[in-house]
Amino acid sequence: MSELRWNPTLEQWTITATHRQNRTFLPPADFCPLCPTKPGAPEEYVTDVPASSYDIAIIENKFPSLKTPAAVPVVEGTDLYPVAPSDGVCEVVLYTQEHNSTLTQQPLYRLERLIRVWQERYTDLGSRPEVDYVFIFENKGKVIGVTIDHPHGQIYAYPFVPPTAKTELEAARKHLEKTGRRLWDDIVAAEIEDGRRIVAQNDTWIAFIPFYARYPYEVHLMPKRPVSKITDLTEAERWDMARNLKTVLQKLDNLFGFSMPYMMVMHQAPTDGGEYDFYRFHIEFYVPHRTETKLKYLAGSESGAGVFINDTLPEEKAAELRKVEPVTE
Amino acid sequence: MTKTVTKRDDGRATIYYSFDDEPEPQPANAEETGKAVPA
Repeated sequence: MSELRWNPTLEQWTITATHRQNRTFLPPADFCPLCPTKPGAPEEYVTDVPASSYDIAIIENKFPSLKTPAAVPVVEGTDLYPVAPSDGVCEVVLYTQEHNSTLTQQPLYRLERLIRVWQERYTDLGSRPEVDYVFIFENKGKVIGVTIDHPHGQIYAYPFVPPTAKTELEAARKHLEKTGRRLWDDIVAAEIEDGRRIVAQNDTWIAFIPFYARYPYEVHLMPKRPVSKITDLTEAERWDMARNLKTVLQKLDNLFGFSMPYMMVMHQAPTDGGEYDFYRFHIEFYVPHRTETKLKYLAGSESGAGVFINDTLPEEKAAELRKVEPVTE
Repeated sequence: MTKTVTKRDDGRATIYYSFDDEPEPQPANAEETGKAVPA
């Protein structure tokens, strides 16, 4: 069962999804639900991907937090506590049929194809009347809470604009009103002028650890040109995005010599019919490691006060990543 | 890019994207292939 419950103290929705308590949890590789189905397999061995092979596949999440049509909420809302059906879509993005691969290990041309699929999903899901925001992301590594080892990304199509996007949009709108300039135009210009926090760049894309990073290795990637959504990228920008992304992934993996866990999230324009030309499509990486053996936890200040404490300087961490060779083992 | 949508018995959609109509790029360098090269 799933529903939206309004939190009047933070003015944001919480999604209840009680059926997810029973979702698949770290199955052995032989029983991976995200591998293609073996040819001739009996019915009970058909995986979530019925085909015996695929280039890139999207499957609807078996245990979705959002689904259309949504279930009827189990409780009635009140003026104080509004409740809403959890309409939307939760998809799993399978960019390789190789169980032991990673996003880093995908050749460049496959990353470019994946970007085209992300574009198609943004357009398709964003065109649905119940969807206000298409959120593309990947959780990688058990330390992040991944419950299936097979490499995969996800897409949540929310029936509302989520709080972080709303805050960024509001900040960008205020900045435009105050200065007449786009916020991310100023951010990209400041990072290029300073240079110390840049991790990698090419003709049309740049990756840097921002001045205000909350995690030690919080790398942000974005087009240098004002582009508010992934579908606005030119072909050249799409290839440069693939190159920039692969370089950052390789550097993260080679930083400590193991496949780096991360959350990779994409922020872009809502699909609620508004105008968001002042916004900038970008990718943010949240890496849980603050050293090779120590993790950054979201403890009292981060979780309870919303104040991140970064134990490092972005200028120093970016210098570390710049020195790491972008090669794949 | 070709998109094919199928439905499972439980109603869930599976979308397959194939690129058979596109030539497989020749590996020009490590960045293109994802293979290791000497550091």
